[in-house]
Amino acid sequence: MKNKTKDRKYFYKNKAGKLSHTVNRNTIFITLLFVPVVLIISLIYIYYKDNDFFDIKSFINSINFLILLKASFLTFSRIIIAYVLSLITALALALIVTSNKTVERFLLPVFDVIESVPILAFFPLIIGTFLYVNFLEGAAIFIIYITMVWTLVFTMVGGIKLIPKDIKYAAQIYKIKSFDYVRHVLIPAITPEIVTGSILSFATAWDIIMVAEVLHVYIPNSDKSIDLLGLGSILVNSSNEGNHYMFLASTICMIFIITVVNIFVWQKLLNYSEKFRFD
Amino acid sequence: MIKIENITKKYELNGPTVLDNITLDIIPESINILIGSSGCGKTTILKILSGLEGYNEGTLVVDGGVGFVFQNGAILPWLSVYDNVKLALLHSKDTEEAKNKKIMKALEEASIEKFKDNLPRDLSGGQRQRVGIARALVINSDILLLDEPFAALDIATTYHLYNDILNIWQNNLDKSGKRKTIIMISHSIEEAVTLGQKIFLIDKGTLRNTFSNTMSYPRNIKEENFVDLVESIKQEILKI
Repeated sequence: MKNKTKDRKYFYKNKAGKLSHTVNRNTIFITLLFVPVVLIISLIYIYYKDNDFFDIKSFINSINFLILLKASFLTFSRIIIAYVLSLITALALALIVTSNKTVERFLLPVFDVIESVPILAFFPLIIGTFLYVNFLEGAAIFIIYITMVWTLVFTMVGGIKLIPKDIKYAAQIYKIKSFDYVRHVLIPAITPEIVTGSILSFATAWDIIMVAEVLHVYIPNSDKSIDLLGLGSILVNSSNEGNHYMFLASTICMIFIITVVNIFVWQKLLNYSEKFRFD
Repeated sequence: MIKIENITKKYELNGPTVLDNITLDIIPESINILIGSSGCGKTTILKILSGLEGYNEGTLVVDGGVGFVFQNGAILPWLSVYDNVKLALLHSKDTEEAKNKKIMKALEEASIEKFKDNLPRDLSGGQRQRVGIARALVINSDILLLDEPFAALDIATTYHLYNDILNIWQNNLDKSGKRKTIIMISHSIEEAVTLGQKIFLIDKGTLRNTFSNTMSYPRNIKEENFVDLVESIKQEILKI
């Protein structure tokens, strides 16, 4: 049964000074997000409606909804696969870094440097490698993975360092070591940091898909046939071709996916992760 | 049995000496209190006894399991009271039923059984400390170490916990009828005299003085012997 005392509800006072309706946090968030979105769409419509640049019937007729759906699914799948890989890698690296002070002193600056190196500089090499083994999806996933992993590493390291010393001592006393310690103490303890790191890394993933899916730009003498179908490649190619309807449609798709994930996944996880915080 | 003889500890080779050739004559099956100023080495002694830290020289014998109660409880906020205590039995080979009996017994001894399904955030400071005590009791160790367990608590809660600690010491016997050996750090002379049968005054990593307290429980703070002992300890501290 839902514990009503734990629901965050907001009250407002009406003119008579009496407490009136309650609204919950999600309602406020949805309202705040959709009001500007509706405003922007309205402004675009008002600006373009008498202009040949934008015609709503042409917009609907020229959109290939099936392609958009497939592209959305493929892009989101690549991000999810890259996320899972980066989560596992980040946890392993965070555990190694925090295993002792000497390792930390050496590895953290190394990670800082690696994170700062622009991965796009190596993109032609990465694509070339995956092209050689005939696995172009791997190139996109790898780029997204490398972009996501460092945010997770640093947020996890920060979380591990925040675990109170007494908790670590108690685990030692009661013989909760190695895998048991990671499973019963460490991972739950850094759950808030995993969630916030995941939100940030997903944001960087959405930034990079514009590049990760448009492979032909980085391979000499290649054409769009090697591009991966996805929202990123649709955005880039439709922009290059002047297909503003498809550009707008894919932008709306992307915003929609990001919003839905935010409301139904991240917000819920953020609330859930509060129970893992130390006072 | 606990033997602490000529223990010396430094955190770094050329660093300051934290414990300097210290010997403590701990009485088994009794309540022993360590008092002294901050940084004098009291917590280091407990950490060495529990195996959390090593030492550079000396002889240490700790015969029997060790339970530790930390100053702030050190309980996991995402687990219920019951599950926090159960975690101490993670490697126990008992059946689930046997574990449940042990856990419930420990919770009852710590007077926290009514809150077994609650999360730590629903509990007061004193109640969280009781969870830490229950966790230390559930493993049925011979030795119980308490690191300033009442430091963060109000007076009323502290006095209730004094009684609980005494009840645990008097009634929590092992199979052969032996009581636990309790070693506790205290920041209060009155607290040390209320609970302790032997009081060790530590100063800069050395043993300054030892005081024996043969008064029976419960102790009356207005009793002449009590007042005299408190005064003796105060005078010794003032000489430092």
